[in-house]
Amino acid sequence: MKDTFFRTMTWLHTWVGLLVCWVLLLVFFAGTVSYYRHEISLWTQPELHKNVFQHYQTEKLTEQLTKGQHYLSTNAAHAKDWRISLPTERKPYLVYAWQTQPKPDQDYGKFIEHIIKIQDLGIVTDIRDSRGGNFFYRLHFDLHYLPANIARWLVGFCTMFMLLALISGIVIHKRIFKDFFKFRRDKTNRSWLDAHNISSVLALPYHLMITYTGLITLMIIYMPWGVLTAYDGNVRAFRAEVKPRHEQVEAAGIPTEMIKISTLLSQVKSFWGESPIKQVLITHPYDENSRITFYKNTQQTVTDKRVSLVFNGSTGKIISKASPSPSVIHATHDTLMSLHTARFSEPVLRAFFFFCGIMGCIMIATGTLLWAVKIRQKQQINIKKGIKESLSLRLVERLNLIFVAGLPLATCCFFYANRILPTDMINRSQWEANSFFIALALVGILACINRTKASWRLVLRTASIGLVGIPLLNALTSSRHLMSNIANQQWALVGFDIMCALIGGILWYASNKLNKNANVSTTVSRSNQKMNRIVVSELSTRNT
Amino acid sequence: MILAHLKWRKRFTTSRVDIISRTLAAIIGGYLVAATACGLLSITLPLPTAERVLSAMMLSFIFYVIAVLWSFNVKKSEQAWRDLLSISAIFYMSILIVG
Repeated sequence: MKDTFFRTMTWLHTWVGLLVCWVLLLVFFAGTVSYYRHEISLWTQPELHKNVFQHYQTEKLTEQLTKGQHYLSTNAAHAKDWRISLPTERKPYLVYAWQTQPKPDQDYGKFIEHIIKIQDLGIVTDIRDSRGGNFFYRLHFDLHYLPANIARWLVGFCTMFMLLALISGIVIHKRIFKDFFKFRRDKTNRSWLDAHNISSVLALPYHLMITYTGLITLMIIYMPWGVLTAYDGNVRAFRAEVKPRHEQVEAAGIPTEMIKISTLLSQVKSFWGESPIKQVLITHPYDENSRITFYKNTQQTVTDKRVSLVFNGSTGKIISKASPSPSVIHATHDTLMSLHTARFSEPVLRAFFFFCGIMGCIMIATGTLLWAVKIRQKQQINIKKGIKESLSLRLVERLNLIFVAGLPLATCCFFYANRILPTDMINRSQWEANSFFIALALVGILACINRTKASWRLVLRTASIGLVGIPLLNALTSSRHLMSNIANQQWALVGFDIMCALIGGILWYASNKLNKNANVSTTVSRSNQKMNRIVVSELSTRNT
Repeated sequence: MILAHLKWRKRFTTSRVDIISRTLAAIIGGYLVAATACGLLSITLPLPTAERVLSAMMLSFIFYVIAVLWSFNVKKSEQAWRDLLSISAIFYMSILIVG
């Protein structure tokens, strides 16, 4: 389009990046936060913080399963299935859950979950209605207030833009290795560019991976055409073949007694040794065709394959030992999926992914800030004459303020709403989500009135104070606080508090930087003014 | 009124029309290429059915990226449309022949 490939790519990078960057930033941010989705969910349910959390203990299994079976058979004898979820590293509590019989027109019944206390194995009854980390998880691909299918197409569209921006970005970044460690501070334009380069290049493999696998996770929606040609559009047949579940037996309709689940433990042990069990699933309880499935806790493997053992629920006879080992393509697909979701990762790797995610947010944010700074410089002479900035510049600067500075504030509001809204409120979890968007909208109003440094500082500092106050909020509104959590080794909760305070501190530092340094939007750095003066004087000398 | 009309005309210079046309070619034409490639690979790759479809879907996004880069890189937007549409037509014909 332009005269050279290089210039075409530069053009493409600018526009492809700019057009959807705010949606991308929201998606990237939500995705990064949802690496700690379970930890956030733990924090947002302070009712669980006392007497509930426990480690997986082999010696307790028999008791937990026996009591679970008893509990479920008294409370949910006619359920479609029962689930006993044992404590894992990231969900350190015991759950007895069941699915009710689905209505004729539905595939699934209602899922009911009861979280169990440690001592007396009683249930925790007063858990507040909150989406917790799942809010961010859904926000990541379903956005909010939008029908899911529209939102997913929108996110897919933006992801495609991101992939293009990355590839064109690699092409135009000629000195990719030279610039690797170069950071010129305090030089507005150059500094933003360097920050953009560093955040992109350092985590480049991650960015490419996460963008591509993001498309892969929802590819059945975006590219269903293979199913159309190879399966005549029968998505169910395709899914059944891709994820072969253990034969789904129908209920026979003949009531039978069930064996005690705990008696199967010795058999399970003979197959898996001491490996922890994640879940026990009992389908069609008290039916002749009931099945008891043990799922192994496979946290450390990369693929998402579920390792299971299936027993007949009335006789206790083993039915299948292992799922068939996947083919290369299946394994590739599984690996790509779990690379995106990072389900396999232990704490250090997870933290690394989180860090890379933050880098991605910085990449997007600095990219769009850079655009605004450059365009403002271009229009500087006009602006000095009193001519208004162009519409696009005003729009971009506003959106930057809303999304770059507003997202941390909105997240902070979400956490405060989680703890402050009354627990018996109707639609409580929805109002938590609303508070996130209300905060963004307030920043939006501010951006329309005033989008100078002062507004940036105000928003960043509010978010900063809020986030630093999170440990205090936690201490005031739950039965535990930071110190007692450390004493009890509740590292998820401790980590949450410290992380929030840390990010709050970083935001404060950033807002201070805004003071001294040449700024995000209003004035232009001195060096550039000097440049302009030189250009003007040169021109005038040439004319004379 | 006349002024507004002139302004409107001015906004749609050839280069703007060219960019809009290329963008549409990239989005729509590119998707057609990716979709038909996905459909074709799903029935031609030498693998079991489910794996054919999986790999075809995973590869189709790469076709999309290449198609988009192509449509911004050719000399004229007409060329972008022509190339992408003919490639997807070829793919589609092959699907009809093979399937």
